Amino acid sequence: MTGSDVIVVGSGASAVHAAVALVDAGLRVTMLDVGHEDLTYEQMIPPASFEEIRRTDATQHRYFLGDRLEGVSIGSVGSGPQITPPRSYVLQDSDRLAPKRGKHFDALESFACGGLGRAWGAVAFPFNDVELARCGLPLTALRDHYEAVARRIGISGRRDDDLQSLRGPLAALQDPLQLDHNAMAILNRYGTLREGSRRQGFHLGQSFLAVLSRGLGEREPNAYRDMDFWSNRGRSVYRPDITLGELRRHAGFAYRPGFLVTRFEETTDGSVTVSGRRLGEGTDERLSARSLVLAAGSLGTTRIILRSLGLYDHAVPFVCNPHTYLACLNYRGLGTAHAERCHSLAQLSAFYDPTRNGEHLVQAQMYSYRSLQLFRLLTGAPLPLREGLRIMSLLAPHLVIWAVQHEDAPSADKYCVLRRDGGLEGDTLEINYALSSEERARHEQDEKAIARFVRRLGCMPLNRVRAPHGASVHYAGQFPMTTQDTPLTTEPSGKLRGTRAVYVADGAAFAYLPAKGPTFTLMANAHRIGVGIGQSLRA
Amino acid sequence: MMPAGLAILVTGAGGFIGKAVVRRLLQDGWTVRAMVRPASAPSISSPDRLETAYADMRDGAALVSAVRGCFAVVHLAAAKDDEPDSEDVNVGGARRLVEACRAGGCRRVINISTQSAKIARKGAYARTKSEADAVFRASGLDVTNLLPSIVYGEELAGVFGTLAKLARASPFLPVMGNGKWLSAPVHVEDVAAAVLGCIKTPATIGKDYDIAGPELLRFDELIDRIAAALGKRPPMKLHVPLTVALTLARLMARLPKAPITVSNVLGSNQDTHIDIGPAQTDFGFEPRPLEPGLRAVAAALASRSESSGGDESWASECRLLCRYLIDCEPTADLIARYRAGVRLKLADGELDDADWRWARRHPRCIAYLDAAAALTPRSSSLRARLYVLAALVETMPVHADRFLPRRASKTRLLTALAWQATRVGCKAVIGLPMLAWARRFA
Repeated sequence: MTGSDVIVVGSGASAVHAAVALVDAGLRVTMLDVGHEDLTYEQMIPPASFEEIRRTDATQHRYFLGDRLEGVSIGSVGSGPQITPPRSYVLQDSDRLAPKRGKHFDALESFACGGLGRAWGAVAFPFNDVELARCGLPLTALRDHYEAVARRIGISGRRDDDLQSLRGPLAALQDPLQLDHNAMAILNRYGTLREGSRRQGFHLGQSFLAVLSRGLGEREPNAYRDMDFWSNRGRSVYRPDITLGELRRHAGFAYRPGFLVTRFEETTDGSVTVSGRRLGEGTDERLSARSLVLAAGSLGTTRIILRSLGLYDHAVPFVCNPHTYLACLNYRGLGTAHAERCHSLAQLSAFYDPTRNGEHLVQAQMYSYRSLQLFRLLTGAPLPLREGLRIMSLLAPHLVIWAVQHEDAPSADKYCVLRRDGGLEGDTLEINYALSSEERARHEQDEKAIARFVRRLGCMPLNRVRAPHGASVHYAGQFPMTTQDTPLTTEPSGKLRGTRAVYVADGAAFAYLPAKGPTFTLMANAHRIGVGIGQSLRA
Repeated sequence: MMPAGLAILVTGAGGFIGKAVVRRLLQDGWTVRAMVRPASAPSISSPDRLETAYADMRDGAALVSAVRGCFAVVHLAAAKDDEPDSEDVNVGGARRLVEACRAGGCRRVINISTQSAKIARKGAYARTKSEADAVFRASGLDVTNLLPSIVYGEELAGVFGTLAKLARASPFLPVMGNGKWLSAPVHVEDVAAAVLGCIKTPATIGKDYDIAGPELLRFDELIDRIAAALGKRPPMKLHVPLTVALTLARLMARLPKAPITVSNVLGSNQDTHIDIGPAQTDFGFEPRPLEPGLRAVAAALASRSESSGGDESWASECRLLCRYLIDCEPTADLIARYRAGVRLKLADGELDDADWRWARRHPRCIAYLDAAAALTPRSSSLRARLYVLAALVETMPVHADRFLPRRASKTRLLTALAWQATRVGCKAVIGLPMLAWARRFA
């Protein structure tokens, strides 16, 4: 390779959209990535609906349960419930390649091709102006990039519903996807209670999803087979590896999997040198470029920056959305027919606006419990298994999960530190995360309010599960973007202060996380940073 | 010297001969990549030096990745039952494998063919295998072709398996043809040893070897010897004339799983010249005599079917739990998966506890113990086993309808729920004192 203009670290949601902008600007880009893939399960899954597969495929136990029964967990439910066996490669090797520890914190990192984006729930939220400002993101500039990313990845949804004012604008939308029977019933019920609910700060509408309702390029519209937790045939659900596939057709783009980036160094001749390890051969290698874009996931990026700067035992801020699951019975729908054709992802989004000014939203998205197996419902349920299975088979078509997300702002009790012990590179990332008593009280209050709201919509809460800290996988905040000239922050251009040409293009630059999945905003921001680097390098 | 640390790919590793070859190579210290079809169940216990590759002989790309990094291939995968795609699997597969070897820089191939590749009048199996042999000979790779006669072993597979099962079960036995066909049965472990011998002996490159036992005997005689080893009287043989046998085999070819194929009939009616001399000279092939070989097999089969603690106790436990959970008898497949599942999911310390000992001793109490244990926070081996079984049963197509949503009116649904809730309550009331007793005294 004759050198490249920009090196991008990682292949996840942020990395690929930064790379798109760089390649569009005519720059030569090299993407360094570990890049694990699933070689076992996905190819075994037939192109049929969940019910059809359940009735006909004699090999289904292999991908539903996993060859080592990794999909069966006895006892407590850990984090990452969406990591089904066909997706287990997403977390493969992460403990070995990225050692971390944290009291009361389960951090998930990915070394997959496409990163954690390979297991993304695909709910796409544009942030509103207040939220963007609190994240430190330049709001006027970001809107165009939201649109550019939406056009590329395909987002379906309904623009003119009750969430409009709280959601943030987006013009490039495909038609909304079909809703399932539970969602229809709940939305109808909301229609009759709308005015009262809105007065109390509750808003309900269909989720924006990065899932196609009509074809886009080589991708097909969602086939409503209810298999979206297991396979992505036709690629209707957006995954970063789709964009990576497009990038790899460009002559100016090179993808180098099997490469673990460990550190960078700025040299006197004005270039950036990246050191890493070729995992296959176990050899070390150095590469140089004019600019470096770090998008290894906020924890990976933090590790690389702190290690490169020699900042051991130095705390940087950290934020993460707390998650709570409300398992409910849609009792108003009991006995009604269930829809055969549906997708498995989030159907509805509810916003609760406790301050009535859109500044501290709580958000919950609704899933139907269908295309997972009943036995999963019986871990820890106080029911004998024989009767338990029968009860669950009666209730399952009407079981819905409301996944409640809270915003998260930095505090003194939330921070990451790189410690000089253990690990492949001689260090371990320590993650400390504790909520203050005020935060806990507010979450409690907000969850009760949401529970009241869903009860009015016909959903009887059966069980509330506080996911362990870290389970939301929304991590951010280490090198916040700000206009103030403070060390260990990033400039609005994404450039890490104190460096000449090292950019942070992932969540590490978000100072705050609103109660909305950040993935779509990560992509838009990475695209913005990529465009900016393109302009400055060509100038 | 052999290149060290590189793997040997074994295609058809899940088969009768394949398993023996994998075992033998591992014993000898090699790293083995066992290739099985994507739909096969994985091997449960895998030592470090055993990798699994999922590939089908019809998938060239998968073969390329299976061969990558291997220095030798032992080729056993074949369509043996005259299937319509025999040509594609056996001949096409050989071509793809040769291509994959070239692409991956793998030069050494041990190709397991068959004696029937030498006969004049061939069925689809024999014809495609002999064409495949030609593909390997012409490939320019370092090939050795092995042509085994009838292979026997503790697993009742192939011609030997069919004969042994019939001889065990029935006082008379249909023989396709006149029963005068000559073969020299060879033990499966001796075939595996021959494969290893070839890998270690470069002088075998470019040659074909007959792999057979030391004793040549007629088909009728072989049947009597098998029966004798199994402790049975010589069965009455019903000789079916060759033409009739062929017609029968052709008719049966339309069945989804034919008990006998045209290749079987033709293969067991044309003699081949079998000479193990070259194998003995070139790589010290030393097949065991037939009589003790058959007796050892019979002894192993007998001990397995009788008590043999392990298997039977797993089966009875799985049967017990399956009856409780879904009122069904488990299939052999489910028992095997249950056994593997329990080993995977339950730590050694969880395998046995008071709940489980009590449940084993008093199977009728399982329902009550389950209901009671569900209410206590303590982990329970009985619950964990039931949970593993529930997951396995739920992913079996035959049971799908029990778990998939059913349409029911609101009234029926509520009635059903109420009935189940009542059962849960009653069982828990009876079960709690029982569980307390068991945990205290068992």
